[in-house]
Amino acid sequence: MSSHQYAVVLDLNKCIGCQTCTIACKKQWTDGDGMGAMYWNNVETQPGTGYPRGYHTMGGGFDEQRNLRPSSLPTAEDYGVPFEYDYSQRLFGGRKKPVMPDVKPEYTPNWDEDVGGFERGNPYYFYLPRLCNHCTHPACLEACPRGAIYKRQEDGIVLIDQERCRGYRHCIEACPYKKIYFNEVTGTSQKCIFCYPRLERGTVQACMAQCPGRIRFVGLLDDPDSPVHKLVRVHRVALPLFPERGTHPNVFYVPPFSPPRTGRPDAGVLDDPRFPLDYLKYLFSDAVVPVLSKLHGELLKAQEGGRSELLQLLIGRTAKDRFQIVPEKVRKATPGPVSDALPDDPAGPPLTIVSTSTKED
Amino acid sequence: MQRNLSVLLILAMVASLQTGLSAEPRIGALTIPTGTAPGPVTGDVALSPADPVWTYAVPVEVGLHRTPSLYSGGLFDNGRKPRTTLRLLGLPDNRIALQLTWEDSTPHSSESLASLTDRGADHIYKTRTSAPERFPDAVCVMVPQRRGPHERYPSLMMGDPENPVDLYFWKEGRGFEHLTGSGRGTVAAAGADAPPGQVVVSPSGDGWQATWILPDIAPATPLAFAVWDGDDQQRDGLKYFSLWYEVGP
Ligand code: SF4
Ligand code: SF4
Repeated sequence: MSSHQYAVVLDLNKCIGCQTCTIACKKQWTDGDGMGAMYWNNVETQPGTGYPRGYHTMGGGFDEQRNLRPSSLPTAEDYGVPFEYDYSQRLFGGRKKPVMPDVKPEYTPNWDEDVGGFERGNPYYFYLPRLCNHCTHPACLEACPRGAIYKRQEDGIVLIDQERCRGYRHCIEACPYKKIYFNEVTGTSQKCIFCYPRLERGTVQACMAQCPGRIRFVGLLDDPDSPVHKLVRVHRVALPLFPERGTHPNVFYVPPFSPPRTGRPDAGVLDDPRFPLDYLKYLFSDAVVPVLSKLHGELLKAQEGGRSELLQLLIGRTAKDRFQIVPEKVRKATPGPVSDALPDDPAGPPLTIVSTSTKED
Repeated sequence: MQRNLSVLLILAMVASLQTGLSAEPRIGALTIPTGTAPGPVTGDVALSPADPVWTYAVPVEVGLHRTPSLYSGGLFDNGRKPRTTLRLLGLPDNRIALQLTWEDSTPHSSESLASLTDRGADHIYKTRTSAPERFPDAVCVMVPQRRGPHERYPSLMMGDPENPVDLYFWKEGRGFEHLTGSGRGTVAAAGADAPPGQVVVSPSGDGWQATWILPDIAPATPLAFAVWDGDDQQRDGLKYFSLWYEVGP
């Protein structure tokens, strides 16, 4: 059982797809050898193929009997074969031809940038930032035969012990979000470490700190003072991605709910939604419907001059409003289950961390 | 389904005959004759597979079995078992040279690993991961740390706490590693004071050939082998394995 669980809420209504978070993470952690295709944080346009390409239809996670579901491994092409431009030839080599990529680009992260969807005369798209969910029931951890993956007792962060990992990649297959990457140079699997060295010093994660859209909230899910607790447990407007995969993610999304379709400004988001409801249900389950209703109601309240505590919270004016990094609380953690969810909580069953595998062998 | 059952039967047999889980002493020992060259053989000579000294070693067919898929779910036994031959040569100082030749229709599956060179300062990308879905071919010989004859063999699953094993492992692209194990999931790098081994592996005909020199091998020491076909996504416990063989006279 983990004493506390750090969690994240991402408000998709505010993400501008600038990829600042992606680059903040890349520069901080993954610009080493063998890490070219590694985006511990990526932002993908939805509807879209995602990164790695088609990850959401590859498999992984748990079935109804809590067995690991089979999955394929993403290929190099699914991550996109990197290409470069030879500018020196054009600028200094006297070549007149246009500068072309050295490899024909077939796929890249966010390949379908802003392509989006089109329905009933309306184009639509939104951005979906993704990082490891530091799941309550991590399929990656369950799949590792060497016990190289462990969930930290004190704060629920899921890590891969680089000394124990032998690069078998069962974890990549098992993760339904494909948020573990293989590094051929080290021969090990690597993933988001939730910036634990920053957290331990009381500094928020790089991706959270840099986000100009201020869409990111972070804190202890089990602490009533934290913004994530308020959004997930109290207001209940943040949902995990693909909850049916059974890993109980700790990254939650406020679903996109605006604007209504062109020419119907008076219609409610559920009467004439710009984002097809079925698509949002595919991503976030049927629980997205009451969340959208609630958000719409709060918006109307504010538009009529009332005060919406929820919308004030979602604005997240200051870093203090958005981030609750509490190393002192986490350090003092006493073991015990964390369970404060309501029985019909859209975010899933009560938070109990069953597996805190350590380096036992 | 039937294939899976037969694999399970093989595993049950292995457990009862060879792991020592049964109360019976080991039965049905498989031995490999030790070839003796007329004069002393140096390690360098033994490590060159084409050297005529290897004609003094009698080739023995080794039966390999395929492990069932334990957690991966997506992989199944295609019924293929690589034909595998073993030769053993006695060397001075209690050392032996072992040569395992096994079929692999794609012995260069991970050629891309060899192309993992730094692209140089003119390039943005550093040494990159080019084939995250490919697994390397690999081979291993397992030897109990307590050498010599055994009443009961160690567990075939990387030894057991009472019978730790040395693993002389080679993986395409990464080379030789001396590992130790005392049960499933316990494999770790051997300490600096562990008896050193050597291995040379190269493509050979329609497969691979590995030649090891192993130290401190007393007569009747048990040996077991495993090969991994990377193209079949084999790694970890997903592999072809042999039962225990004994170093014969
Ligand atoms: S998102 Fe994937 S990698 Fe991260 S904890 Fe969950 S199962 Fe493991
Ligand atoms: S930095 Fe913030 S706004 Fe920009 S893409 Fe990332 S999550 Fe979206």
